[in-house]
Amino acid sequence: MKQRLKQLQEKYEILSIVIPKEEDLYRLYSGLNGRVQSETAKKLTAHLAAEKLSHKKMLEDFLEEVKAEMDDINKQLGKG
Amino acid sequence: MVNNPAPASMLYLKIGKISIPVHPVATHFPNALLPTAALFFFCYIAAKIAGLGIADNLEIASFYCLIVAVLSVPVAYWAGYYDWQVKYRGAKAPIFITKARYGIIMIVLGVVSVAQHILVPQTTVLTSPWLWLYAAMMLGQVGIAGLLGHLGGKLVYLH
Repeated sequence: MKQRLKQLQEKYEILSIVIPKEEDLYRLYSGLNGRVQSETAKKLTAHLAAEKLSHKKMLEDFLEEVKAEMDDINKQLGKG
Repeated sequence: MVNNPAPASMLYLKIGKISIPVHPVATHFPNALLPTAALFFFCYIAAKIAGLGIADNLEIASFYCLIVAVLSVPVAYWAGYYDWQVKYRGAKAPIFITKARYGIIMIVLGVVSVAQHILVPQTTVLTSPWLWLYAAMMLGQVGIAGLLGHLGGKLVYLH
């Protein structure tokens, strides 16, 4: 059980770091979307920004699952 | 365009149209000045042993570097704490906990070493154990600055 908790903590750490990266990239593509002139570039940056948001949502859902499992294990170990 | 639900990314100092990220800028002061302070201090010891006239100047330069570094650490810590709470939503992951703990140790070591230099005149006397305590605290700060910089690099570059 402790081994599983360690694995989950590693996942939690990675997700905590990666989610803000998706947000940063969303801001980058959104910013570019407001600055580029061509229609093609506007479509591309809008698509990339939307992709980043969907990745962020997916990772946040995964993070919630990891946190829930960590809480369960901590309760079983008497830490929660 | 899809609306962004994300909060503000990190702490910035706004000067006109320029936005300066506080934490990365503030951390470069101790990261650069602490090794410089340590280098000057060990050069002072070597120069003192060799009887060179430049020795005292090296010691003063080392102390001034240390003062600026120690003053910049709380700014870096506060900005880093802000970024952790906002950008990383206060995630209690080991990397952030380690950074927070060692940041406090660094502040304490910095304040104690500067206070020792001011209050204990034997700090610069070669035969005094105070000198080696001071040097050890300085090296400790250099090590912690290196560790914190390494962890910060992991957060930024994901290596």
